Amino acid sequence: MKRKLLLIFVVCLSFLAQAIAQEKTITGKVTSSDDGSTIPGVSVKVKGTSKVVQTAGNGTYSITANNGDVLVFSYISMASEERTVGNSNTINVALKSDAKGLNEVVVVGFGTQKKANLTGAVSTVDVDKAFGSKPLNDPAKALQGVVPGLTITYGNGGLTSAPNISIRGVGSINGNSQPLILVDNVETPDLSLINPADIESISVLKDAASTSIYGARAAFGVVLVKTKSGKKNVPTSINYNNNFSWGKPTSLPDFADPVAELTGLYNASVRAGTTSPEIFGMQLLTLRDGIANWQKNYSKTNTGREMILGQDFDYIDNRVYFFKQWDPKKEMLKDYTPQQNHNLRIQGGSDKIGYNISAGYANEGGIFKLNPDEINKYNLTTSITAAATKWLDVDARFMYRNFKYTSPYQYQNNWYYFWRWGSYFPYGTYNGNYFRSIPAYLANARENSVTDNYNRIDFGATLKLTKNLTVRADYTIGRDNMLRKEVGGPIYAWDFWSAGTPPALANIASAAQDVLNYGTSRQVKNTFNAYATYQNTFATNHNVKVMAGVNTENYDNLQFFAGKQTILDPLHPELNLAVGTPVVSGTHGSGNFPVGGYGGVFGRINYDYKGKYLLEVNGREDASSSFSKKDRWAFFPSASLGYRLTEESFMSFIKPTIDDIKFRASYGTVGNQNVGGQFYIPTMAGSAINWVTVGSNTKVQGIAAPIPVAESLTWEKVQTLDLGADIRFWKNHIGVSADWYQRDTKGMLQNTTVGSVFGSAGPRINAGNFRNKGYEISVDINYPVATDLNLYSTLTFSDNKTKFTKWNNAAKTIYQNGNGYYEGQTFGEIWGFETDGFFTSADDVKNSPSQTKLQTGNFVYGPGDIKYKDLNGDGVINTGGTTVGDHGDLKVIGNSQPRYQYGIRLGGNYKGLDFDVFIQGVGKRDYWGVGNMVIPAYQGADILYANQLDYWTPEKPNAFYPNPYISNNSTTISNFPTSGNNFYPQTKYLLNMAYARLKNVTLGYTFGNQWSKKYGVQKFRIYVSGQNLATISNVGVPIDPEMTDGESGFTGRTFPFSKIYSFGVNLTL
Amino acid sequence: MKVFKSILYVTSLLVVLGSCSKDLNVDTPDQFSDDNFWTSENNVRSYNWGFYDLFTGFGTGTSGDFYFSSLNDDQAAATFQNFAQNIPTTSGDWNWTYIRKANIMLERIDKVPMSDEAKNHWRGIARFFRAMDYFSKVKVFGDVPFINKSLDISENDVIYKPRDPRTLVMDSVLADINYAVANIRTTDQSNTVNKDVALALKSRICLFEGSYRIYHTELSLPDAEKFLTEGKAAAEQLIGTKYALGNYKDLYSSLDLTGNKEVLLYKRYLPGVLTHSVIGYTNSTTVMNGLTKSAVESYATVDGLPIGQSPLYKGDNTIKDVRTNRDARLLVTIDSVLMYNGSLVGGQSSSTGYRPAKFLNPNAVQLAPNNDTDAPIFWYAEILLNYAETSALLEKLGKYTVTQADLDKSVNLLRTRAKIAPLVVSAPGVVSASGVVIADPARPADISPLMWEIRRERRVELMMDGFRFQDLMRWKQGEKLDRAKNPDAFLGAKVADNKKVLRNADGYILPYAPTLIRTFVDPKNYLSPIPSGQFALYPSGTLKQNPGW
Repeated sequence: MKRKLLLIFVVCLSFLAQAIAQEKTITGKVTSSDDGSTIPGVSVKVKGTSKVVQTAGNGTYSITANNGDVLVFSYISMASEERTVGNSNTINVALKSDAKGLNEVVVVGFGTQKKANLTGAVSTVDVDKAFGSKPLNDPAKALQGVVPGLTITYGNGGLTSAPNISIRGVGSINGNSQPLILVDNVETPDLSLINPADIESISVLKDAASTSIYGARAAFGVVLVKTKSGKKNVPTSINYNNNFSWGKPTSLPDFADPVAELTGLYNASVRAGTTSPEIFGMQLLTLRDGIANWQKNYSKTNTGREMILGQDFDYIDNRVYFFKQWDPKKEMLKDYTPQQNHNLRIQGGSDKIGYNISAGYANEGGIFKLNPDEINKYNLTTSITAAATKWLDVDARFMYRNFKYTSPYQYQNNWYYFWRWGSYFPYGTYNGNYFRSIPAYLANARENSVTDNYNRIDFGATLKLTKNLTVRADYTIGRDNMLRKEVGGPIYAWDFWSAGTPPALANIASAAQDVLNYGTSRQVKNTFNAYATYQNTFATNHNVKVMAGVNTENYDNLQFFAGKQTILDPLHPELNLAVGTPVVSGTHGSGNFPVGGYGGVFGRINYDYKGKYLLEVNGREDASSSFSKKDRWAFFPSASLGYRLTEESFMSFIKPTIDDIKFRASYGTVGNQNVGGQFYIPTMAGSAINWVTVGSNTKVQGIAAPIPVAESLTWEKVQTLDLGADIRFWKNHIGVSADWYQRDTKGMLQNTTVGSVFGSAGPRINAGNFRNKGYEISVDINYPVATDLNLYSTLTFSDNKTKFTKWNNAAKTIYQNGNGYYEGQTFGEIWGFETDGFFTSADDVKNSPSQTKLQTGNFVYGPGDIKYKDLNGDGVINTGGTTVGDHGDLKVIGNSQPRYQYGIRLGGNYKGLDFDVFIQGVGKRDYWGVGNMVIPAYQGADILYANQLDYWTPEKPNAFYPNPYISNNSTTISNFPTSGNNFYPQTKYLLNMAYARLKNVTLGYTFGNQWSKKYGVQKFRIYVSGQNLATISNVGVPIDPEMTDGESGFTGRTFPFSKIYSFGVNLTL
Repeated sequence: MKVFKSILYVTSLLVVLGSCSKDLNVDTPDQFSDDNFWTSENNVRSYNWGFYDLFTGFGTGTSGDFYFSSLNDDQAAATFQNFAQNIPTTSGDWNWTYIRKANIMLERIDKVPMSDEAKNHWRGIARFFRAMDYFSKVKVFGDVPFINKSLDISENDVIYKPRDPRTLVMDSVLADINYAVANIRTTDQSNTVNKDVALALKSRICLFEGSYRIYHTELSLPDAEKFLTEGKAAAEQLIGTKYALGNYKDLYSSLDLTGNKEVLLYKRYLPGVLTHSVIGYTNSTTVMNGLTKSAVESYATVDGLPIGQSPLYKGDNTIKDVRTNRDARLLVTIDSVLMYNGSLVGGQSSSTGYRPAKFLNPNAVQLAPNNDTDAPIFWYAEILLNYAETSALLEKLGKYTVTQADLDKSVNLLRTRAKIAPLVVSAPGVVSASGVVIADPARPADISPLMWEIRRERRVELMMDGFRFQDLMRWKQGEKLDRAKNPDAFLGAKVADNKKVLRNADGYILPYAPTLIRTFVDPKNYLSPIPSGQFALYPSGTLKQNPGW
């Protein structure tokens, strides 16, 4: 009984205690751990509740909480702290600057460094902001505009379009000037091998001082990617993210009304001297009138896909005529292309072992309605870290990427032909069969596939020999196996190409297309890195870090291809089930598939005095199989200095406002071994000759004469001088970083200019020099506006310009084949005429400077044609000797290199809501495109788009385009872009590729902790996101400002760029 | 101290580890190099194949020797074609790639382990192609720099030397081809360059150079007789051997020329392997490069007389009339119906109404570029024509008298095949047919009737085969390409007005508006300009441009 009473008493007491506890008030003060100053505006929150207060002007706060509750102190640019409420009613907290600030650790070559102590030009990517909440299966897509000086362009919007990546602009005319991309210290040619969700950090090393530790491959910068790995002492978390998106082309030309289109083409053809203009035997005027008749009588009724003879098409004069007008974009292109991404990650770690397992799946579909192409991509990564002994840590990582791209067998360049024919071409069927046109090929094509498996295994060990000395060694085996399968076969369609009516239902594929092809490649790369790091502080103030190591690589590439014609049954496409001519070919170690080895020893010394004076010295001795034995080894040194003004005691007065001022300077030499081949070997290329011997069914293989080689040939040497400053102020809310650099590329390989009598291009010699000057500025701002409202912004801006300081072209010829460069040239410049409007009359032609030298074919300048400006005033429009000294009326009208590149990010969060807006742009870029999409009637038997109907007629003297003329694809100026007459490169029709683009907008909402906790969820966020939603540009023609590719060289005739709308969830358990 | 020692120790350990991993002497495993290639006769043969790209045949796209080289008086291209008006900066003809290839081959053969006979054969092959390539250059440019060894980039005095005179270059060409004739195997592999092919090339070269030197008197070139004598002898060596005329059309339209006794060398085309476009372009709705009035009128009537003289000629009011009583070659060379704007046949049309038909074969793949008929490269008819013309030219020089036997073993074989009466020598330079002395009203006074008929024979036999332009050049007949001076070369068939086709006052089709003018400028248009891009590379004044450019 007594015990019962006691129990009741205790229970009552505990209730009482709880009641008292609920009223407990905690007070305290929040300071900065850096300088002890108090911080106002810090948010203090009781974890798992909505209870939140803010610190006052003197950094104090007061909040009620229960014993055992957790208080979360958070403040922008500071690392959050958590404290559990205990007996004490006072909790004081000192907050540390978080990763955005000075203590951020930056990954550099073979090590890490505190950002405060960096002396080189190194930028880091805010991975969460760049990659989070986006429909991505290629990390490069998210890096556009994010890092100042890092330029990423795509030539088209296709599923497999590869990025062009460069740091600080073009570095050499040889190779691709791409930066070295290292994923966990191993060279990786293609960023898309990596699942964006696996990326932990990205550092971009830009100057020679930062990159010379990588020697001869890091001439044009390094992109260091570190992937997420197992970590010890972290709680287990399970994270799932997904994204679903729908894309829609940004900008496409419109098909014209065929009646107006054919009138234009007819006039253009007659002007060119064609007496009876036709297309596939359809006389243009008969065709036009037939279409007009169709529009009047049948457009309302004949809306089906099955075409009616005598109405939608007809037989006239033994030819098939097509009258029905289609909407080709609607017929052939989807309204939206789907994409989805899923990523799952499980990680955790005890004090001995940490692990990280992730899986990703991405699927993206192409835009064609019939047989669209598709990508399926799977990524699996496993990594583990273990403390084997007190002095030894071991780690291992396994990466697997499976990629499968399927597409219809390519009977023809689909985009090229889709954009080539007017809207009267037959998209429908007759008796259920297509006509010989794009849909026939696409609908009936069998599947091509490319399957690529990338496997990578890393083993590493870190030895802690003494307190100050560690040794790290790792070995990586990388294997990339690709299998390609192509299945052609016959295609039956109404063949109206040949004369005769009714058309035959014939096989429209060629014999060579009735084929089964297998292609496979095996790329192997083994990498060994080992380095020792010694770190110590002497006499309190002298901090020293020394690192030395070796790196070797060897690589092998084998590719081969086997095909056989005449497939017995296209549904069973295998080599044993094909009976025709076999075709086999392969490469081992040539072209893009080098075989070789590479290696070097390197070292680095860092020294600082009190973190005030900073010094770094690097060196690397390198060897590459790209050069002959005697030219093989080279030494690449660099040094950099830093001075942190704010560490001087006399500067302490400034601290309350300015947190840090650092000046940096660096200079060094790096090599470029990526010069496009092993030109020291007098190779004799093999090629198929257009000759078939009796008794054989293949072309003979011929061996070419050996290429001439120079006596000595070695690396291109790249020297960079970089001056920079980093300033952080206003309690670390704002940081500004600026760099100016000058990069000299010396000894660029160039074919010696030589007269044709020599009988070959001259040997390659180290002859040309480049000088690239530029600057980069970045600003980051983090500002807590109110208790629950934080805003941030980052701005990046960069520009550079490259000039030839030396080039072996004494005559300074412009646009000469392979030798359009000359000393003093700005890289990317475009030469052309200045447009002086249209000729207004025959008298105007007569009284203006003569342009007859520019006429090609039957073209004669007349009213409505382009009048070029007589820049040299000699009364004749010409190109002189096409040299810089004698360029006639040509001038530099633009430059194809992107200039004034910028990125603007604005974002923030309010309570659970977050938003992020990213704008990216290029301030200036010109492009001279060729092909019918940018030049009307460029080639005959093609289309006029809706925008191209705005051409000159006597009644319309102010039109955009001149009096039409067919076949503008010939020029009288050798080596100029193939466009002539009214369309020589000129100011009026130069494409303006400058743009400002709303690259991304993301809006997310994270559900409150209380809600989440109920379901055992740590974090639950949903978001919507849009890519490329709006663009400001004025290209001049309806193509995307980022578009530079085109099938068959016709600008714009390729996969379009897309606007993408997406949504998804982030879930962490 | 201890610390630094351990750093040193560790670093050296790493260096050792690293250097073990792999040596760097890996080169390009799948490419030969000059250092490892010259080891067997078979490798020399592989090297030799590269020269075979010089045999264009029907070509790819519109680049072929047949039908597509339409700048002449036989064809009117679908779109008006003119001489280059400007000097180009580069030119595919001004190119020494094959010369260098041949020179390197000649220098490497010594070290290849093979018999002396084999060495001589392959030297002969290299010199054959060197001769062929220089011959092409001389035709286009006249004087050219002659290089007969592989050059080092430092040899500026050779690379930038002035052009060598045509006489030096052609003497060297003759020496090369003579060496080739003497040393090339009778057969190496079937359908490859052999001794007979070398003889055929020799006869072609010698006729060209000999006649060029005769007619281009302004150049005062010596040795015409030497070339003609050598050329006549080369042709004579082939006449009456294993070659014989077959069916005319088969030569141009066979799926397989293997075993055709008329052919010395031919280019094989196979579906899916190597194909051409000649059928596609002469059986297409794209307007065709039709035959001109001038070309069609050059065919004789079956009595062997020119149309201007023959009572059998029915005139040209209809295509049926045009084809009545005519040379059988005309009947296969042009279609039996006219096709032109406003009167399409099967949707097809020709610029002149006369549709080229001799390349057609209904059993071949019809669509360009997948055509698979074989193309002759060297064939017997040309040898016979070369023989007859060299003989007549020697007669013109007073060094020879053409006999009836000469004609009977050459052009009369062709005429018999064409079902027209043979030529009969009635007096030096005078010929008759069907018992009538030939007196073509179209013959210029300074050309003998014999020569005129031999030229006619060459023109009609080799119609659209790519010879005509250079034949006119060597005969100094450039004005035949001038629209004002030879309007018949810019006219088509006679047709009735249909409101669509453009005709002249006499009712002949005008393929081009009368405003489109082609003027032949003498001497400018006899030779092509040297590309302007070369001049800047030479010491000033060393390289001289061709006259008129």
